[in-house]
Amino acid sequence: MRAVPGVGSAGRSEPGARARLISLVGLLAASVVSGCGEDAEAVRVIAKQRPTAVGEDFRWNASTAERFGLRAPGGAAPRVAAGPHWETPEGWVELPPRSMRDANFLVAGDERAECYLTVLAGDGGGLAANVNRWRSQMSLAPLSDEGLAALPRVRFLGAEAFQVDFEGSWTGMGGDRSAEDYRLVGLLQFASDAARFLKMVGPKSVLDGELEAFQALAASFHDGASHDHAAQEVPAPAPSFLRWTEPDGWRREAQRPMREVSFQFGEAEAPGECYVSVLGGRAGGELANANRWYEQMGQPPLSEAEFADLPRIPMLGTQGTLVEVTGAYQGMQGPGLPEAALIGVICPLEERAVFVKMVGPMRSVQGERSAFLEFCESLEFGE
Amino acid sequence: MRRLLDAILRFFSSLGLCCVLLILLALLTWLGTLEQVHSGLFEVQKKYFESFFLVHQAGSVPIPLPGANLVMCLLFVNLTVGGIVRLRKGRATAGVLVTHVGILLLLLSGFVKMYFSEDGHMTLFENDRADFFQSYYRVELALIENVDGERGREFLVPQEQFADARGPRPVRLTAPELPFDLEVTNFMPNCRPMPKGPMFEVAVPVVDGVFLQSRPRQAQAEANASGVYATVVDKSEGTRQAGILWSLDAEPWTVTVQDKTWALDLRKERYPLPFTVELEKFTKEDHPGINMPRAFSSDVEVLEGTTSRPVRISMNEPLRDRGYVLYQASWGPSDARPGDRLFSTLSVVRNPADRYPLYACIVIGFGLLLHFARKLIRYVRIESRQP
Repeated sequence: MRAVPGVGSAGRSEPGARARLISLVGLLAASVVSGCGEDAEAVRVIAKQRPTAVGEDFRWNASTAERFGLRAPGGAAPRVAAGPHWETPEGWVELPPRSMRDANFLVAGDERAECYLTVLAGDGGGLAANVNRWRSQMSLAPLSDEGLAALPRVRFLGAEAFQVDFEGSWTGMGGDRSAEDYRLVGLLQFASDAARFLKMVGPKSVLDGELEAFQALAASFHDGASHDHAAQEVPAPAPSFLRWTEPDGWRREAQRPMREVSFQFGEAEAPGECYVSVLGGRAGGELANANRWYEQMGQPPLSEAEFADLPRIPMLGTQGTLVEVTGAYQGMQGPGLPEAALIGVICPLEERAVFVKMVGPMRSVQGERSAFLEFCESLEFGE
Repeated sequence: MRRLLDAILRFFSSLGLCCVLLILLALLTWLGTLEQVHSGLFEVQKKYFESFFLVHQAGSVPIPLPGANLVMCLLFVNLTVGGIVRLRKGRATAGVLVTHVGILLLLLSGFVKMYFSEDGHMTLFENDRADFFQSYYRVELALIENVDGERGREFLVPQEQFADARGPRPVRLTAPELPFDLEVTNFMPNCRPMPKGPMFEVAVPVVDGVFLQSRPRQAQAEANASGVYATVVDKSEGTRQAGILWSLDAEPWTVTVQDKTWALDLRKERYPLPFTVELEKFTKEDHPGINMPRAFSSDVEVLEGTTSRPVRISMNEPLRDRGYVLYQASWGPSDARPGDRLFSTLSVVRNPADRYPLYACIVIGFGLLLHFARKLIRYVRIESRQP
């Protein structure tokens, strides 16, 4: 059973003060026992446990996206089986749907700006009531019948919809706020089966740059009952200008940004990875890139002389510099990995540089070293 | 030595000290109230009223001040010592003595409330039930073992044990019964999980394409959503599984260690109740013509074992049971329309000194009544003797 997150509260004293005191005493004791030195790893003992229920309500194995109510920009998985589907604009953050919000977004990741779709049975109160309710939220006077009749019309979810665009002082849903220079852009559709409202509201400075995204979102809405996006979401590998021979036992991963190809190897529980990336020009220089890898492994940087002494291997018709370093890996993604090894090759070409990087648990990487070198030598330019 | 003791007694029993302390209390109340323009109530309460010392910023000028906690401790000592050493004991001062006892009781109730109470909230939709309430402000890490699909066991880590893991240096949490250690890093008091795009780099790890974006602390402490990076390290294999925990996530993070399933959850700290509360019906009455509530109440069923009893909790009628008090605090969603499903938020307090202020007020009232009645009688007698 999960409690609903609380709403705002009035002032209250700090809860659990006694527990806090006990915890602090325990913490101090643990610190004394484990040593308080600057470099000592902080180790804390968990002392409190109690039985609980993990019945039907308990949701195991939720995905990251489900846990955080997120989908990657451009994702189009159905949220409600029979409801509409959509594609989240780049830079927007999709939030979990909630009461009266069948689709729910943070516009441009700005928490002051939001956009959501509301679907109501019947006519939802009609055009005049809803337009004027929105106008009152923007501190604007109601529109006359002529003004309503003159509203522009656009296609939305396969039918005609009225479009509004208001600027004013936002007073909030309950008239309990006051914010100047706000903008409200919305679509109102009154179809035979339901009334649909797509509303984007936020600071004018934010919304001014998001009108195209709003239009793209509106255009992406479509009936989701008749198809499944899952099959469409399987990423197809993008064509690369390189070719290679895949080493035995390596597992090719889905296409990822900035990478020509990615592999995993070793044990499934603690895999290593190897990938090829290509950057334009000299990509900051060979020494800088080698030292970036050294830094990721927690090692001091190489001097120019040390770099010059590194071995070279044949690759792509030229010589690549082979970098081998061990240590505790702290890469760009994921948490750190102690006792790791990194083997990489930096291969500068005329207008770009090719990087092949293998990193993972030390034992796995060392076991795959010869496969890595063969893989590098197998690289060649494609058609 | 004797002289020193006398000096200390004179100092702590002096009327001057009492006046200074009362003026400081008034000053702290005033400054604390002003500070709420910039900070939330929780932060102000911690800074001005639960602290021993503080630095108040008057513009760009820092002013060191004693906290209300220290001032009230000193006042307690002052009233006690003053009452024993200075105050004359007799019929003439009986009322004043009783009033002193009442004020001491009032200070004592504040002390007990601060160090021995728990409070939080319970938020329920109709037909939901809960046997715990949760803090507004504090978070805890729960490591929940799936024992048999129905029963579980949770290991609880209070905020103090991991809140200092602010950077990449991990804090390792361990217990002999656990098949894994938990390394936590990058604790953020207020953050939001964001999808990592291809065109920008972030200084924190990215897990499953998501990273935690730190955000400024909200003035209202309960509006903050904490997050932390967690790595499960199998004790026997040494394998590592990384994840992100966020206090507003919809579901916990699931990991499998040595063929056992565990859920890891960063959540608001929970306090168990000795009974279960089920919300039967929430009623909101609006003022005519507008969406502003005139009154709201919760009809709940209090369940304990095989017995249950119905209770209505309304704004001035809390539920009191075994030291716990459940008040009707609020409701939501705030933008709900007629027909929407509403939830009710009950404020829950366990305060051993819950009734002390009432008793203290009765004692103070009785003492003052005694004192002024005596004065009045004396005045009337003197007046009646006048020719």
